[in-house]
Amino acid sequence: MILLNKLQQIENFILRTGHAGENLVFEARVLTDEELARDVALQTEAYAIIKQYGRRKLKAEIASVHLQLFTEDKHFTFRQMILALFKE
Amino acid sequence: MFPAVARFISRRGGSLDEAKDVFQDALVVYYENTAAGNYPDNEKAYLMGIARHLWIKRYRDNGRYVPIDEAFSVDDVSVLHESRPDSNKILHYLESRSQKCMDLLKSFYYEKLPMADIARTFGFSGERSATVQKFKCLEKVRGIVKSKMLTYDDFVE
Repeated sequence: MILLNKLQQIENFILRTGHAGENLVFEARVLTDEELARDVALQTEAYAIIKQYGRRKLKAEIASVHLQLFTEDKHFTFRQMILALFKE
Repeated sequence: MFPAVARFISRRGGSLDEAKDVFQDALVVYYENTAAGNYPDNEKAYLMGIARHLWIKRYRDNGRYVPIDEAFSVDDVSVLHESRPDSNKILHYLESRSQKCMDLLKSFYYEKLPMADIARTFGFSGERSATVQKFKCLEKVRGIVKSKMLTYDDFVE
């Protein structure tokens, strides 16, 4: 189990939320410490997964609004107007 | 706003489905930029600009509109077409077993909400305990990613 403050340090480095000087020192450590470099790579991947999750949830919300616009009776006029744009 | 984007896409020979994809992707980019603190002066013009940019860039390169990959920044063209089946498997695994953790992480890293708000929403006593939990959840995701590097079998449901 990696210590939480180490996760925080790596996070500051990856997301550039830390002090610029500390990030530089950390970068030098990453270059010389293979295990730390692996930790950084792992955490970067974890952030990518979280972003993917966020986008997926957001897209699902947007898609459900789209579905309402294109299925509910009260949006009939809107729908006709959009469909007319794509007629030859 | 959608009619304006749909009109733009239809005039350039795109289909309704492509207009839908472009508009939805534009909303995602817009959301991510504003979450990061970049608020435009003119929201409609900004959204239309994103839609136009997405269409031109992603249509020109492929001959049809390819929606943005969920995992990467839209500006990072070099990795847009890289297939990432592993991350889908990991995500599926995390969604089914650690939904609350994923929602907590999403609130902080994707929606960029203040920790005090997150603590309230998720019922923590304060920012400190929410932060500790956030890192525990992050460690969980790291652990799953790490084990994926060792074996794929665990992710096949």
